[in-house]
Amino acid sequence: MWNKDKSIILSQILIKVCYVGIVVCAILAPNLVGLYEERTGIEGLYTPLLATLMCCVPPGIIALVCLDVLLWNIQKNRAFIEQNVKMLRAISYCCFCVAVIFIYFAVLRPFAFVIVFAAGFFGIILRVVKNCFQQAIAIREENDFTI
Amino acid sequence: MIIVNLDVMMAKRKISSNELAEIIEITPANLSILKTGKAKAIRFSTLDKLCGALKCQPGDILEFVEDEED
Repeated sequence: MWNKDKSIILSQILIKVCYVGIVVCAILAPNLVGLYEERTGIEGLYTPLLATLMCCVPPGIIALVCLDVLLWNIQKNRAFIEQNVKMLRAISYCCFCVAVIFIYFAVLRPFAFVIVFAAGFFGIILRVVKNCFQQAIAIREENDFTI
Repeated sequence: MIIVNLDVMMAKRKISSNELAEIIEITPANLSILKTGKAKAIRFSTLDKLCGALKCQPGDILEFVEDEED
């Protein structure tokens, strides 16, 4: 039977898969970018695309670590705590960071503005979720301190 | 701001925290939150029990004082 615990475990497994995916992509990035340049036949993409992708690795890993901490807290029934707000804020900053990094590549290849928009949009959504968490913490505190 | 003078009333009535907590059926931890002024709100039912146990009026327990910055 599907339940909350199994859902969290599935999310944790997906995060671990993403960790491996990011590390493998970072290692294979030179080959993958070379292959992309070869397939598309566009000259001069290699260095900007590789630089953009490599710059996105640190925010990606930071976001995954934050997600891991967030899930760990949720698993321990500590969803509405200040640390989770910090994690959501950090993840939203990581999204904005990726959006800013991709602006550089989008100048060369305008299709990358889709990634800029998507990352920025995710960042905004996470900020709203963070605001909801802050509100929920305030309500919980008021409830806890109503005697 | 509202000041809770529960400790003053408890001293006047010579009643301990544990005794009072038992009478009004709340945990000593919650009573401590009330006494130290950390509480954000107080239920009418709790106030009712407190006034009953301490034989006093709500005004004896709660006091309004002007904020210093006002």
